[in-house]
Amino acid sequence: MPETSGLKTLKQVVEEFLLKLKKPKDEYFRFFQFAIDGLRLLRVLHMKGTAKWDKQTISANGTIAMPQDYVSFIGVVVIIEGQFWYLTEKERLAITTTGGSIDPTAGEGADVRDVYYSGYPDSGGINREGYFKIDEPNRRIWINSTDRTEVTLLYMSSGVNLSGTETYVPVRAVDALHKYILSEDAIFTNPNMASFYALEKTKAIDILKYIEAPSAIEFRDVLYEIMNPLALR
Amino acid sequence: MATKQQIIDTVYQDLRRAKPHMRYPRMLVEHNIAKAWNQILYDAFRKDLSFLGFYAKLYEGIAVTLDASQNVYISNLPVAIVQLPDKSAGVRRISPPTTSGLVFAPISEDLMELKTNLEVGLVENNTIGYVVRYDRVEYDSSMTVAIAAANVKMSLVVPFDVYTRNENLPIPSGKDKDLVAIALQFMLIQEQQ
Repeated sequence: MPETSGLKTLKQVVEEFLLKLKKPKDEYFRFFQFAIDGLRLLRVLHMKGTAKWDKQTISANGTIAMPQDYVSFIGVVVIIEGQFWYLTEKERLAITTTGGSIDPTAGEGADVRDVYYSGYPDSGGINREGYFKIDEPNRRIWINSTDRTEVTLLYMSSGVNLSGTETYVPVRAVDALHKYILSEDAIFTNPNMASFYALEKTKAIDILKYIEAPSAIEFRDVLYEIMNPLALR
Repeated sequence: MATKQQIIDTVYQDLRRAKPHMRYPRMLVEHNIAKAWNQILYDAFRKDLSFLGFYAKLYEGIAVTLDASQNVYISNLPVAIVQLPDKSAGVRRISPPTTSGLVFAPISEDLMELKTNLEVGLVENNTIGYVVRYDRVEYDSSMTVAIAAANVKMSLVVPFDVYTRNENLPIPSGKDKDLVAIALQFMLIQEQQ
């Protein structure tokens, strides 16, 4: 027997909310705005499996661009033997100080991977795949000291599609989203009830996080991954 | 349920019984029943306007045209509507001529202006907002040429004057007596003044 879908459109989520709250349609757009904000928050903070990746060619300037739907950073990676290898963030990277292209004569953009001396005095912990620095005001990420021409940006997207493409919400997140809308509505229109609804929202998010939490098998696998058969001393 | 004519006759007869020596123009009587009708609808539904669907009349094939001077799509209301205390006023529902995913939702004039720049306006344009004015409906920027060409249908809560003489008036349950009483009250107040 067919069952109901595990996904709902954001539009359905808002319409269900109006139905449950016995509110007229004239509140539709206001609640839709809350739903957009709520879904973004849940995706960034509480849901897993929502990351997006974007493989990009490094520009002549040594940068990759942040996609339009970029909300927060996860990592810059290259693929080595089927797994992501993360580049290391280095705040001290000297990128352009003029806002435009790098100036090599001023030492900007020089590779930092190589050490000055090769021998015992060298420090370890060098990432042979490269470094990066986030340049959020200019919506780009500077890549340094890599031999690759392409890297992959892992990021959290807003998760909300522009019109023309439906935005889907997993059913497991719908209750938390409804409670988020209730809570935000109370903050703006009914402050006396705000604390009560905030508590309800927290409870619903806790349930969502419980569903999203790693399973016992995942914990076991992590333990196995860090163990080896050698004798412990 | 009674016809419009029966309600007018009832009020007229009650007036003649109460004041046998007075003469009341029928136009004046009808005007006061119309006021009483608005009052009854307001009193019965101000707490929950969702039940007004029963009292709404369906009008189909209403044209949607572009008002070039305002650069906004509009529909002229086919009849007058009752003013009610929410954004829909007497326009309880607007829908496309055939079933589709398209939804119309009443909005305020402020939201109509803001929506173009708001995120919700960029994400959700399968729901068309509309602002109700006393003589027409204005649609937000989600209205398209194709949707406009198909026309729309509306459920309207109409005033007493719009009903024909032989048409049944859907008086809210338990309010029959009140309708006559309020109409009489309006007449007598005018008389005292």
